[in-house]
Amino acid sequence: MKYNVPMPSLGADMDQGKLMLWKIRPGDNVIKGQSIAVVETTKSTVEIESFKNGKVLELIGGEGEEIPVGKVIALFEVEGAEPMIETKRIKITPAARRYALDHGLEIESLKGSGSEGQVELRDVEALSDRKAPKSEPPLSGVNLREAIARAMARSKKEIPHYYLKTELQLGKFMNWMDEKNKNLSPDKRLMIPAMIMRAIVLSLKKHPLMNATYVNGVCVPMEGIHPGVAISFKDGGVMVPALLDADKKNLHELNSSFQDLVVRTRKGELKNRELTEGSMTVTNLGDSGADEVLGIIFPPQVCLIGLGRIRKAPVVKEDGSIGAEFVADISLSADHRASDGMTGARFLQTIDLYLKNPQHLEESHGY
Amino acid sequence: MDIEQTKKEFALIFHEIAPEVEFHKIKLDLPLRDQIEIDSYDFYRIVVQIQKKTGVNIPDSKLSEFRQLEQLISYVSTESSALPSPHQRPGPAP
Repeated sequence: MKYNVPMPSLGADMDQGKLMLWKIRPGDNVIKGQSIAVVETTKSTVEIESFKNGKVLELIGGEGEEIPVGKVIALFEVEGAEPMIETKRIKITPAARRYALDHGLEIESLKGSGSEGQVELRDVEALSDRKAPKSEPPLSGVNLREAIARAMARSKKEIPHYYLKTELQLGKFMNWMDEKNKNLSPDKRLMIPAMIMRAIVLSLKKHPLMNATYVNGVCVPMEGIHPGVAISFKDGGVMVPALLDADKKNLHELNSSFQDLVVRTRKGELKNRELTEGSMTVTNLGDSGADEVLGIIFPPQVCLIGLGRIRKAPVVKEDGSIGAEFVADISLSADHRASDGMTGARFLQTIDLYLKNPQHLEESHGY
Repeated sequence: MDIEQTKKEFALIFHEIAPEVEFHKIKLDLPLRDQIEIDSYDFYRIVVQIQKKTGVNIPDSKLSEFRQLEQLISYVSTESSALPSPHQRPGPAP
């Protein structure tokens, strides 16, 4: 059967992508998961993977062409009895397309009142109780800053955030890091941010409501744990690629995957799943000297963990004595539609417990 | 490894990891993070390279105490001098 390969959506804020390079040719056999093209979005250059096994019949999209999300870019012959997907061409204004995407409306199902059935902004507004503010600027973002601005503005407008904060006592954790790294070769040295991520991943296993998306009024826990890692660029901007299947990796695998993700993000070599499947976000502004971060949730995720600078501070220790200890502030920004403060507080408590007992980071279960 | 040798090694490592940083302009007695923008990942790579080139493993708990580069250089210089010569060192764990 024939199968139309569409330009995929690599994020809720993506309208179109620029097809940079084909990695296949007509006549090639393609397997599911194979990289078939490189696409540039407002955020990054991304390798697009095939969702089917099949044979390439035709490459429709041209290299260098800007192509709207959903438009057919290639034609495959695929196995099985799946019918050919006819891509319905919908005439829709950019503002209406943006509004529909922002509000989870299926563009293919829209009916327009404009010329030749074109879907206008008023048509999509009529389908939603939430009206777009008249002052909203045109939604044709062309750079990373605009993409961030759009996602964050949408988040603050729609998500009822609540915030919690606690102070992590990291004395035992830092001693554990020293001991572990003393016995590892330099190439396998553990990174502090990767190990704190390990504590968060193990805690997410126990608190699935924090590893979820909120779409169309429903909170749906994600099947895998794919935390987004906020990675900043030296020339400005930030991206949040997902550390895929973090719950299936052991301590050392997570450490190397974390580093690999940083490197590939900076090189612009991310895969489409890494941009679309983040199940929550971790942002670490300790490098910048900030002690505390109260972040904005990246929709449709339902929570964000913010980490501040690791520093020495006076603390009352478990035995009641007072002394200098390594500490860091950890904050939780969470969507009140998906969870309440009690759930959020328990999540932070579990992370704290792992970091106070870091030997459990080496286990796949624990608390 | 004396202080001057250690400084030269640091200059090479910084050039390799963060070529945008002009090492010779860093004032060693002032806080490093106030002078250059370097994130935890690049700093981690610098620490890994220091260990590879000098054999000195810098504990994370020590790293957080060093604010000026001269403290780090002094630590590496002292520790490397205390190490057995390269052919006498035990290899790292696999």
